[in-house]
Amino acid sequence: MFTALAVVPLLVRTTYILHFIILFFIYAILSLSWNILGGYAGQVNLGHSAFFGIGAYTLGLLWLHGTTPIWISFVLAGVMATAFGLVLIPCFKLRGVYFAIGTLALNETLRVIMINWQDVTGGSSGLRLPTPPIGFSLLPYYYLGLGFFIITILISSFLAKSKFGLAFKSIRENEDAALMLGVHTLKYKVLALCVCAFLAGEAGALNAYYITYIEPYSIFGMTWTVCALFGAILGGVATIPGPIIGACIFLALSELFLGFAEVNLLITGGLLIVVMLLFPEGLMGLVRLRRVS
Amino acid sequence: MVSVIALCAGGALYVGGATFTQLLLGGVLVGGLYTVTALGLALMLGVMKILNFAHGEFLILAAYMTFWLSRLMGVDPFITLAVTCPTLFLFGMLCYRVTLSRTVRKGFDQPVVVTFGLMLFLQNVYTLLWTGNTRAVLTSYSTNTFIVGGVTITILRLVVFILSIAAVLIFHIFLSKAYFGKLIRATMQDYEVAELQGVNTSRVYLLAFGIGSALCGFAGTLISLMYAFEPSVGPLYLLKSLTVVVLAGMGSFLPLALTGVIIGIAESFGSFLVGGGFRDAIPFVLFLLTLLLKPKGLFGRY
Repeated sequence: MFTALAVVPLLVRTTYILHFIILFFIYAILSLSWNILGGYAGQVNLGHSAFFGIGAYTLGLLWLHGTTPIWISFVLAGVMATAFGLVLIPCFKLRGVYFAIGTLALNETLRVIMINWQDVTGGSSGLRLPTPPIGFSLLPYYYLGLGFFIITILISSFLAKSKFGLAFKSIRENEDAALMLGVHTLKYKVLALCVCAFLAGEAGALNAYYITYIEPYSIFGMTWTVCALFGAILGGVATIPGPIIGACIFLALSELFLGFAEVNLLITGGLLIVVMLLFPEGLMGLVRLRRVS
Repeated sequence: MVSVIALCAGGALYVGGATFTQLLLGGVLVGGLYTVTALGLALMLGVMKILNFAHGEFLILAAYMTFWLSRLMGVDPFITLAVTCPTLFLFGMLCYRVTLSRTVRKGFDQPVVVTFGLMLFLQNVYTLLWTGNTRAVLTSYSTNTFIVGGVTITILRLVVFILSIAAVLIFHIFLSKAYFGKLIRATMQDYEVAELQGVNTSRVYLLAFGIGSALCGFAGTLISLMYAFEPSVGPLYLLKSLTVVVLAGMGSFLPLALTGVIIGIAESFGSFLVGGGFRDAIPFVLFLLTLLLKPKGLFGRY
């Protein structure tokens, strides 16, 4: 699959398809990152947009106001998102639903603060970032996105198959049992959170870099959380291909209904309900079922 | 307790007597509204342990109904209560039957995602049907005020407050005296034992969800009178109601009146001190503080 993706831009000249795939990378990274905390470790995080937004703003502000090399800005975006993620640690005291709402509350608080912090974030009019010296071709963005995409998949797979993955899954299945068996649940939850936040921050930075415009109302909005959630749940939590497929479907839906965001989200909401009721394992779960039977 | 009093005294000195009373009163009146919006949520949370993420959307549905009824048929908004409450009751039961009835006891994740999906779904249905334009219900008496001792009181807000407190009291009486109220409390305390005693818990869940939705209907109508609304304010009310519930503690209903008022006052003073833009963030911050410092709430039983 990777070779196919790597080769695509050399063959395809249609700008729209490249644009679609670049967005797909961003959405896929977002879903995969959510999956680490939400799918593997079972902590449903409804404040995912916060990481995304912080990553976007870090990159944006560094770019706008300084001479920091772009590579360092990208890394810093992830770091800042992780730093914010650490604020979430007290929320780990909460279980289940309360954790979800805690993250939601944090996200909304951050959003309100960012909207009002006009000197830094440009308030409702947002920040317009300068076009990068790379030029107007889409190719560099494509490969940048592809690179991050591959890194995210590698990190996710590594975590999933390592002892960390086992710890995460044990926490998801039954946290008390895991504690009794000697799994240091807080440490692993924090680790999952850090990775999750870092990758989501990178996705945000990518988004800012590509779209060159960020404003707080939308960048911290529910759309990104929904994207991540939907991607992971529809595709299949705790799998690697799952969120990728899910993100693709989400993107396809939003592009399909480009002028009608409401219909898109409506379908997303309805699908979330249907998926959760009928096949909570997501599409990957269906595939697995078919293989078994 | 002492710190609270000291804070209040300090606040009074800082902002000046008249402003203090004004803010306090305004906060109290708004608090009544927050209380009644939280009632339905508290019921669903207490009985079914389900957090209805679509709570805000239920409220807004009632608000829209009031808006259209009063706009198209000239019906006085308070009269629409007779329509919104039963409609929301049925609507809530329908939603429950279609989506949640299968997920009630299966842990946290499923209901969270399902109600989240429901929230998305409903929010966008409203946007499609009624556009994202901000609506508000205005009546001839919306801005009537009277002045008492240098403090201006809006009559509408006072009426809303009185209705809210009445609703809480009636609900409390229902829970403690009515047969079905007792069924609800039994299911809330221990559903297994309740079932052993012959309580049809599925029916209790269904009806409890319906009653919770009817309460949303009541609150939603009141909201439409006091504030402007649009499809996207749902989650805001959800979080505010949740703050009221969490501060009061799960399983308690009467204290909701107190905590609602506390939140109202906090918001009133907070927005005065830090500026209007942050007004909505104040309940969120309170919510987080409560969860972290006193997760059982002030009067919690579970």
